[in-house]
Amino acid sequence: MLVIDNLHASIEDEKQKTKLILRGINLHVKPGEVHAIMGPNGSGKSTLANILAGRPEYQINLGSVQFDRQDLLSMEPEERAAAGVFLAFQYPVEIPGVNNTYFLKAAVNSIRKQRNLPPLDAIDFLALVKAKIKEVGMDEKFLNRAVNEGFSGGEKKRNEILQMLMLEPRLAILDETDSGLDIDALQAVAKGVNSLRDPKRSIIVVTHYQRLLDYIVPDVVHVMVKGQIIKSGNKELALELEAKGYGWLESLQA
Amino acid sequence: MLQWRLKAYRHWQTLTPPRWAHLNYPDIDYQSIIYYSAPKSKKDGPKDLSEVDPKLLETYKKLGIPLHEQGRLAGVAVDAVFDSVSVATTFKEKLSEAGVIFCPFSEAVQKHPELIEKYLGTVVPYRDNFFAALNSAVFSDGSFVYIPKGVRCPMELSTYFRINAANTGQFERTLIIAEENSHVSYLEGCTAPMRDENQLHAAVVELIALDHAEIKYSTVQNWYPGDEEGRGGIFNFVTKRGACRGQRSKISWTQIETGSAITWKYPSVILQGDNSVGEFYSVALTNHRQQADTGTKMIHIGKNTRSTIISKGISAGFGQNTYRGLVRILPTATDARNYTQCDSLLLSQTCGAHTFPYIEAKNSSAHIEHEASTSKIGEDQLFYCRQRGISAEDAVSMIVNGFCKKVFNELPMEFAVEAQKLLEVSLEGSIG
Amino acid sequence: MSDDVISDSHLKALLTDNPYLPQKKWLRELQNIHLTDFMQRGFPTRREEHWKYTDMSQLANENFGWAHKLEMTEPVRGQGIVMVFVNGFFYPALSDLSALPPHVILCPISQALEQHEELLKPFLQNGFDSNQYPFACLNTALMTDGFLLSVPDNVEVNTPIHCLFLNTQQQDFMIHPRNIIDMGANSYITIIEEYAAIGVEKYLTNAVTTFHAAQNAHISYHKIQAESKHAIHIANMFLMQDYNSVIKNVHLAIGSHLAREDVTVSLQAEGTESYLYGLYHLSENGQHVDNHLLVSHAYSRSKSVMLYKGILDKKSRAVFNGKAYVHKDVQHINAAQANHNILLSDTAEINSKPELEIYSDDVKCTHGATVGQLDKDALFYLRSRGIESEEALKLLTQAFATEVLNKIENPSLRNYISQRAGYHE
Repeated sequence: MLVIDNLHASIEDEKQKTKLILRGINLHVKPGEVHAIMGPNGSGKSTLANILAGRPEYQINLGSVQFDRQDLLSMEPEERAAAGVFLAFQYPVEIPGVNNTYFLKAAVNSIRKQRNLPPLDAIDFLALVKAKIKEVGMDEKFLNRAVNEGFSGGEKKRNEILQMLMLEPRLAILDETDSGLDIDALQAVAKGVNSLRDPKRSIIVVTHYQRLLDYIVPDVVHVMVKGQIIKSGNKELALELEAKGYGWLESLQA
Repeated sequence: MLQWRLKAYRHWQTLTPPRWAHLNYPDIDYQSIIYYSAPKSKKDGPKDLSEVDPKLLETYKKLGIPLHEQGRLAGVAVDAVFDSVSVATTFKEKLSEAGVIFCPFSEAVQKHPELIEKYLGTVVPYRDNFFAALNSAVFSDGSFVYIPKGVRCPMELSTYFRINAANTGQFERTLIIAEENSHVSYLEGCTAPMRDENQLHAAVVELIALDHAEIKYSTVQNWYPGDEEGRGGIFNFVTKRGACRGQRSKISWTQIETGSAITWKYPSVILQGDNSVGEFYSVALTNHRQQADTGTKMIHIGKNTRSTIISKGISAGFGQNTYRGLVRILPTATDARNYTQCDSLLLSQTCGAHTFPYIEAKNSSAHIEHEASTSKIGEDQLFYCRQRGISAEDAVSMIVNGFCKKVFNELPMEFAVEAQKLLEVSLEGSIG
Repeated sequence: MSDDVISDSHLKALLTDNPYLPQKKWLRELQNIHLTDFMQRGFPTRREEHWKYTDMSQLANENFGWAHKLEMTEPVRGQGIVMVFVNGFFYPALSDLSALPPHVILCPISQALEQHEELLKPFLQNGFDSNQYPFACLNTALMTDGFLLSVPDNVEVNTPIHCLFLNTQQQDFMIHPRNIIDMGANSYITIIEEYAAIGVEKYLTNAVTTFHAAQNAHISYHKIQAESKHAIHIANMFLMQDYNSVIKNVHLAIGSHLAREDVTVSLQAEGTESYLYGLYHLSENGQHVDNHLLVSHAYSRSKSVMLYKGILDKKSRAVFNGKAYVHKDVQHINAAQANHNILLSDTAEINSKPELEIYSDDVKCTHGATVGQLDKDALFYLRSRGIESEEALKLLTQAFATEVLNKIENPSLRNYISQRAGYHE
């Protein structure tokens, strides 16, 4: 489903200097698979997630990304969403004055429109969203709030999962969704993600800690250091990393 | 009345046109303006919709204005087709039952001269400023509203229902009097772009609220803004002021300004009565070559007075948007409280947003809080929406709407829906 | 608009009689031009927007003259490298320049005119527009003495420099100090410019300080205005910043009867940071302090922060006007302004106007202003713990002021300035 080939990417910092972040990423995710990407801070994990979603600030220097045989990098963010890419943000932004439900409906219907499907009518939509919000363990009152405004960290992450459940993506990318969560929130997030597991659907979990992977068990684990994937393995690799720390890997790389 | 007008005229002649606003416009030739035009002869207007500017019709369609309405607004002589007359009659009955007077100003001068004499010019005297003097001398018509003691006006009053509303006055004069314990909500303007050959509009609106009375005045203004080069637009120079004369009285101004080539107005509230409340909610949009210098003045005189100012400015194209506000606490105003939030959103690289708040506190028990921010739409917010499948243009529309939410919430329901649509239409093509 | 009553000949006579500076032809010409300019413009009146709340017209009726040099033997306490001026005259005996690093120039203008004329000339010849900056214009015309500080590239001066202008024992005189801070690339200084009085005489200080920060220069500047309670203090500060330079200003104003400070920041390249912090604490009847700040963001990636706090007691009055102006086509601008005031009496007055004039869209600008009183709950809390009312008031006032004082990085300077403000550490 997703083929990343020799991807190099950089960004310009505030002093207008070019910083190379991804230095040749190769990754192949087949339908139905759950991949975990781990690595120390600054390794480029979040950058990779954001680039897949289409964040404009990055420059692609080399390489390609194929999503269902389409050139993903040439697609606009909303086109990628319509194609089935979903990014659960590490720091979900607040949008004051925009109602959470309204936003969700606009997103759902916009994607349906791009797929030549008729929009969901208000009643059907409301029924659906109320069911899903229960699944992520969020109170219905959040449906009336502005998007993420005044939400706690845990509530914001649950809101991301709610959106994911409503949009039913083909490729779900979770960018450090577990950071700052307590056990309850973690379990709710994992439950939501696991409920989407399907032979036709792939999930990429970007995380710093092994803990989330106890709940969302990956098929493949990759370790990213300084913009490159230096080791891949099965879920045992994550446990080994936890025990030995990132320093072990960096010494391997050096 | 004539005497008053003559005094105003003579005073106006002694004044020079003011130029202190952050606005750029050619000098107005006051001599060449035709000050009284015969009621627009219906024979001179477009004969039917096919003669009306198609761009105008397109806007009407987008705003959801029904066909027969479009005709009336464009000045087509529509006689029997639509039943505004019958609608007007039903509401007139309701109002007279309640004792509410709502009629054209000219009618009020005939039928209620004692009220006019008592209140006219007491909130905005003709000496107040250049345009007030001009208006006082030459105003032709406007609205008169009187709510008797204890009456809650049974419906929202709208200029739309005033007979002869098709004659958009150039120098309108409005006077609203709310007696003790009364309540009225008044809607001015409409979302349809109003065209007029007269370039200068200098209206005066005076509101008077007595003890425990409340006046809510909402304006949706979409005067013709001129073409993309700014030619031919209307200059909207208005003096609007409310006097909270009574204790616990309240005056609330809500405005959505998307039209006019130049908007220059400061709806203000004078908080005389103890415990009185003044509110100002505003969304001002400047696109293409529009300019706005608008804001409010809250003058705290009585004790325990409160004022709230929420101003949202949106600049796009080459628009220049200025907020100018004054919060003045006089020495007599003990325990006065003010909260001001003025935010500006910049949607293009060529627009400007300026904030000039004046805070004058002469009483130590005053509590004033002013915050303002100016920025463009957050990249993060835009990307978030797009990642969820919403197109860039829809995302901007959504975010701008969210930006204005607090102000839209103050509008009467139907107006709020119209206002949102109007904002969308006015911003079309401005993101690029 | 000429409101001044002082006759042409009086001011011209003052020019020729100036006892502070050596005679130089080019200087004399410069001064003549500026004097004529000023006379044509006249003193500012309240009808001008920039002078709306501050009445300077009374100055026109004053008859200030030159001071005469005093016999001063008592040492004056200063911090670090010290330069002392009394009534505008430089006193080498009271100063201490021993800790000055080599190659750094710090000397009075009177001396610089002889020893560093070529360095000094271009700074002085840069004139001021009499319309916008009338008092800077007047300062050039009637210049008395001041200091020239010139730091070469790559030199860091870690010992604080203290320039003290002490005014005492004379009435009705005026000083027009001209100070120049010239920083080379990658240089650093920390400096206090202090204006103080020992008595309660009436005089006029009209100072101009210009800051020239080259690439990556870093200036940590502090000002104390503790003039006599009958004095008039006018100051114009012009900050010119080159690429990536940083200027951090902390101003304290507690003295004078009438004070007006204009700080103008002009950016000349990208990447600059300008921090303007101020604290004014007025406690005399009739005291009036007016702060006008302007940061002109003409280049991209610049940042400015204005934070001014005021405590007003008795029948005092403060005016604050902070303006951030963002030019067209500049990117990545961050500008913040805040003015917070506490009124301690029923007769104190504040006029605050934080302004934003923005012609570009890539900006993040915020401003806030508040006017209020000390937190009644906090007051009661302190008193319920046995602290007397007056002491409690003092503590809370100090807490309010602390936010600004904490911006002073150098701990001994912070101590010194807090004490001058009347706060205990």
